[in-house]
Amino acid sequence: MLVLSRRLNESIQIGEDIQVTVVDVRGDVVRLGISAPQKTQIWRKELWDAIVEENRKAALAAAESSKRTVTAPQLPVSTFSKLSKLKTVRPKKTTKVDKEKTEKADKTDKTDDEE
Amino acid sequence: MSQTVTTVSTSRFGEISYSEEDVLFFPRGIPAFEKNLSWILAGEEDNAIKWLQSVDDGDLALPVTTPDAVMADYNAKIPEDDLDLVGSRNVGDLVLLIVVSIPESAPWDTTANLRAPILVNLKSRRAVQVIALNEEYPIRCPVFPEDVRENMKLSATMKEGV
Repeated sequence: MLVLSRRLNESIQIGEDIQVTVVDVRGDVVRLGISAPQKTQIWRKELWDAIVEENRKAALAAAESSKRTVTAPQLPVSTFSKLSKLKTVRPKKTTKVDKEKTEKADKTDKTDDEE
Repeated sequence: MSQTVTTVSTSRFGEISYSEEDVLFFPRGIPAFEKNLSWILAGEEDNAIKWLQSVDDGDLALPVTTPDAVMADYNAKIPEDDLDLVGSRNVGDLVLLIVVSIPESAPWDTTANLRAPILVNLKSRRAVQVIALNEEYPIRCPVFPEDVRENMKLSATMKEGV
């Protein structure tokens, strides 16, 4: 990591169009002024980390629940009209029980798996 | 037109067959899963929760729903950069999905990430998880109102009793 020392009101330049200026230093708080093109996304790092963490948690819980028969909570079905705009892949095996059955069937007899 | 059908073996749905046009392409991956660029939306007709299923990793799926299931007047402000990434500014081409987190042992505590919706261009099928400019939108918004949560808890303990 590049480490630079800057005093109050001094800046660093990143690329052609981003400037970061030390606007205020008070105790252990440093205020930075950032000047960048509007399309540049600038976030507090904690926010990004929180989103990464939330995705990881959601995927982990999902992976755990897929091993067991846990019914996902129901949300209002009115939502569907919106979702139906998005092409959804419908799994052939709709229930966990069916899945287990066919898994068993797979081991012994392959033929009745296909519909 | 030839349609190649590919099959992926998933831990949630077993084998899923999908064609190229089912794939949602995330050029940046999904935060925490940056290497997984290709996903499909899988799910059942009668459940408002669908699953973003990675096609590269059968064990990786994220539950998603539409924002209005959680917040009636949801109105995320999307950075222009992200609109450019999916390649459309036409509202008719765009749809938002919300990642939900369903705690395995306490589904009544399900939360939705309203701050970081997934923006999908229906035409190009390019997608990106964005950070909405709405600072007031929580990352962990409880999905169920208090009374519903109490009922869910109650019926869960009753089932255990049987």
